[in-house]
Amino acid sequence: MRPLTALDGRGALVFSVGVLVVFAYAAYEMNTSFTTRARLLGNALIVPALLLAVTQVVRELRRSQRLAVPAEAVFTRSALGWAAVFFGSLWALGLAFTIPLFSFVYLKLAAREAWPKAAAYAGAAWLFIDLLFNRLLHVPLPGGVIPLPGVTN
Amino acid sequence: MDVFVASLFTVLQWPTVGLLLLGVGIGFVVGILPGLGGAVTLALMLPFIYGMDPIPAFAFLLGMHAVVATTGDITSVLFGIPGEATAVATIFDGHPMARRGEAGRALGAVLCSSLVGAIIGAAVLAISVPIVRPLVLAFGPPEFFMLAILGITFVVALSGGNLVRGFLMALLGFLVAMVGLDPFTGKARFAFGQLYLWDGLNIIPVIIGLFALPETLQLMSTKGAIAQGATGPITRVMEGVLDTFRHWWVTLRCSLIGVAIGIIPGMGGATAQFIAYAHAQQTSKTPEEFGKGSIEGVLAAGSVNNSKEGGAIIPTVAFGVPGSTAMAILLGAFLILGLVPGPEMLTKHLDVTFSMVWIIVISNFLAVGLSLLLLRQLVALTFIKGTWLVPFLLVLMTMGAYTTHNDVLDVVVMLFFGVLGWAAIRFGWPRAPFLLAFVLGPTVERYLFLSHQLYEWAFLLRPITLALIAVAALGVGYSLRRERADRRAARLRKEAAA
Repeated sequence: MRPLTALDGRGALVFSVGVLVVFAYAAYEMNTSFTTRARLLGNALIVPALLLAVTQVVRELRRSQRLAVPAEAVFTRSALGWAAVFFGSLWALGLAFTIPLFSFVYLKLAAREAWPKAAAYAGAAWLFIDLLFNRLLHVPLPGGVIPLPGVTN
Repeated sequence: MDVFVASLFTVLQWPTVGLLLLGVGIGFVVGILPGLGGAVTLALMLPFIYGMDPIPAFAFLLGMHAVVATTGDITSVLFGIPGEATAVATIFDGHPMARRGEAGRALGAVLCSSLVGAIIGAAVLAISVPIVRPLVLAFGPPEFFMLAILGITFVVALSGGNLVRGFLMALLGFLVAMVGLDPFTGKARFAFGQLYLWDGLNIIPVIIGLFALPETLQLMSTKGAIAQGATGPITRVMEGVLDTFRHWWVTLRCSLIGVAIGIIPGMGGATAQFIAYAHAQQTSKTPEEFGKGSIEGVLAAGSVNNSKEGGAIIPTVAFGVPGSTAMAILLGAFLILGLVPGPEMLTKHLDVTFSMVWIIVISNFLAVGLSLLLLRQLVALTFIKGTWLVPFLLVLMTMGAYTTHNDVLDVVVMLFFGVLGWAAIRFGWPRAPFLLAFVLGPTVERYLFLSHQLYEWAFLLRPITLALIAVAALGVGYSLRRERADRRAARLRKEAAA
């Protein structure tokens, strides 16, 4: 469960430069393809935005100490991996299959729960989603790229 | 007065009352579970209000939000773990009381003072309507434009942290709000040739990504149960309830402090609790007991927590300027329901505004009553493992984003803003100014356009607009001074350590 630390060094600088690039692109886009009316708000905000973004980049370049990473931003690789598994499964199999499958596998492997508990949770989760979204709200559940029977694509 | 009374009966009608009970139930549990924030839950529940009428929708959302702070105090007292960020000050005296065997008394006091605070906050909200109405009706587009800017400036300046990063996040929020077809010319802006972006970015996937996704990942990273260890017997609850009235002057003063701070955008509940706590300590006959289990400290923290909500709703409803993240999400609910905050909320939709007063009062009565009845069972809830919530939250987030347009691209947008939210937390960029600017973006643009059409740039020289600019400048000046003082103090500490 090692916390992610790869971005600690120059991550803050990269993020600040990214923000500056976004504003620079916005300024270019507004001045090349927006009408005067469409860029009224943009014109009002883009100059201070660029000035502040440059200031921030300069501050990051002059920063001598590394940023202390707040506890709420420390995600373990395992947490990110499980999130990737969930969204990957959602993309591949769709939500109807992902819910019970992910609930069961996550509780069994990540939470180390007993088989019956994990299976009961997975069944209850599937039932909840089916009852609430499918039958009550009539919201079609997102399907995956792999065609599966009974799943809306 | 007729509208005020009639709105009570509207709230008590079916299905509004059912949705209120549902909202209170969700807020009740969320408040107790420290892994889950009130604003995040509000964001997760936003998609469910599509198709609802305004009063039932607010009964659900506001009913949920109004009780989160109430039950958040329970874990602060019992385990020294705040259920909510706004329940931190409750720990200072509530937890020492619990450790010396007075958990029941502390819980009785904090719950009852929360109820009193909520009622005072709601009463001020009701009373403020006739006072604020002439002011709101006198305002034109330039004043509303400047008020929105003032609100964002205050949120950046007063919420702590770095001013430059705060303003950049606000400006980024405005930029993201510009995505889509320009409402006046029909010109696509920042759409990158994608039809999906022509409608602009919907508030729901943005909020869920920005707030709920990082919080869920945090829950996945920490795993374990919320509370560990025994709590001891919970007795003498009624004594704590009576303490609220024995020390009524502290309860009343701290409630009013909560309302006043709630009205100021950017100050927020986290700040309010410390100001009220410090005030209670300064005015107490026994200040030395504060931090060691003072009942006055518990009452101050409890009452301020809930009274601020009534205050925070005033600028949101009357001027469309939300003062906190939760209020910005609630403003998003206004937009989803087709309501425009401002003059109409105090005239045409006055019943909706007054129903909010009743929702705050009723939901807090329900929450406090249930908490007092089910204290022991509620304690058991805190032993739920965080991992059990994770699959449920992932599904709720995904479906919340997806049901915006029944489009998988909404999930992609949620993921994109999830990454932005994570980076913002990690590198110390505040998320609240981004959200406020994103929510207020279309309104600000409309008022800017109208002001410019009516007065050209001379609208900035109108008297009220000038006064608002001066107030905003004062806020920034104050914040700059504080930032400089903090830097100097840090340098001195470093030199002293060396």
